[in-house]
Amino acid sequence: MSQAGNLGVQRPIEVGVEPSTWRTLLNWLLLLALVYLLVSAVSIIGGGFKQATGDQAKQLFEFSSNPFVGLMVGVIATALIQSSSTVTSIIVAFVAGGLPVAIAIPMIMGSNIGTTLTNTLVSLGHVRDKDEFLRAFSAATVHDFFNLLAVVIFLPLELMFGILERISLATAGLVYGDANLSMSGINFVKTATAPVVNGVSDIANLLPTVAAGILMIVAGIALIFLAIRYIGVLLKQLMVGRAKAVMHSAIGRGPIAGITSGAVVTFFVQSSSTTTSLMVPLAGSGTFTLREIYPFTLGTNIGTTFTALLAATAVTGAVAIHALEIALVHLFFNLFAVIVIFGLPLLRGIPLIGAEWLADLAAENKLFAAGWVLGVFLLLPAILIFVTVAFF
Amino acid sequence: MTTPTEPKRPSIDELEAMINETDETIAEVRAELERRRAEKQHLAIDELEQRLAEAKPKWAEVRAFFQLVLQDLRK
Repeated sequence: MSQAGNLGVQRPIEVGVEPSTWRTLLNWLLLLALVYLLVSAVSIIGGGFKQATGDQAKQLFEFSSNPFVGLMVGVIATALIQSSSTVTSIIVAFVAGGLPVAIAIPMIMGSNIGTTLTNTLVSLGHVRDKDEFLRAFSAATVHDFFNLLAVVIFLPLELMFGILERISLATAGLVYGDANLSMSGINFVKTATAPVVNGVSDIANLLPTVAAGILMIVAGIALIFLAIRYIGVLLKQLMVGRAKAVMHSAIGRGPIAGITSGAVVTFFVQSSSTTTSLMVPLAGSGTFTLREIYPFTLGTNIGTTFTALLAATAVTGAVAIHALEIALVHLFFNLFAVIVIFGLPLLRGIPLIGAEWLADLAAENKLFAAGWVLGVFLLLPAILIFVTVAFF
Repeated sequence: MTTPTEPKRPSIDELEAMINETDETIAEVRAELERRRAEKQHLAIDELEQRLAEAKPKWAEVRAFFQLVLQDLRK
């Protein structure tokens, strides 16, 4: 190893390549602080929502009691924010503030569709090379088709039987058991987050009640944005080595390994948009095939559900069970979608066929790609919301 | 003047041997192809830090895409 030096060859000085121990430690501490901020922000929004609406939260969201409107609100909000983790965490906070779970479920499903926009936008960058664009666009839109199909299957089932709501409530009940949820005074999370929550609340309460509640909601949303953004940045630095190891180990091991690696890598970096976008250039260059990327993409849907579960730990008191319930709806929805759609050979190929069909069209005529992006993620949801609110 | 002779027809055993040899060659080529593809995938994953940093929409590219679409529509 030292021969290079003996021969007078200068080896590059590797300053800053490997983060030093203290820097890693600092990053972990910063990460903990950001998680604390996230959890506090959920409490702030929940408190602000209660304060702003009183007991009228349900009435406030009456416009989205139509599940299709709720669904479209989820699609548009996530498409605009480009982070399903942020949107689902905000939904958890709203549930903590009194938003009924039944209204929140279609929003959660919508956020699953909205999050697929990011990697589709990334694929548009490959438009100048027809073959590359065809591969990149199909790798991106296989996520769109899978998540759309999941909603097509599970939303009607949910409206008819409330399967996800029942299973999630039962599971949340197991977690909270028979504990007296109103005894929030001894809750660790509430005690730990009290300084930040009370601090923001005290400042906000200089304003009239409703304005103070709105200010708390806005402040909480801003804090969630910041927290999730920088949690992602830090985790990418801290966990990239493990993410690499997971991805290396999944190569050539089949779809289950692909799903698992997608879930684990997304859990590590806390962003399904990042992990699905990561694969698009690799598909464009032909390094990974559409069929290899498909299971990985499904795993990202599962890995991204952790953020909402973490956000739910912030909620205390009688609504804690419902906050956990909606976070579990997110998890079970994505888990069942993978089991049903990928598990059934009849359904498994549909997202692949859809993605290949659309990519063929888009490679021939870019208008199809533009129509898909604008139509599915913005125009169609906006029109549906307008029509439903205006006429029903 | 010599008359052209018919090429010797391979025997059934020889044909079977040719098929077996071809099958083996195809299997070897497939294995090599898989190995090289896996190698390429491992190399791509080795650059994960950079790829993660770039895994977001580049708005200039999105804008350029829609400009191309508008150009196509005007044609």
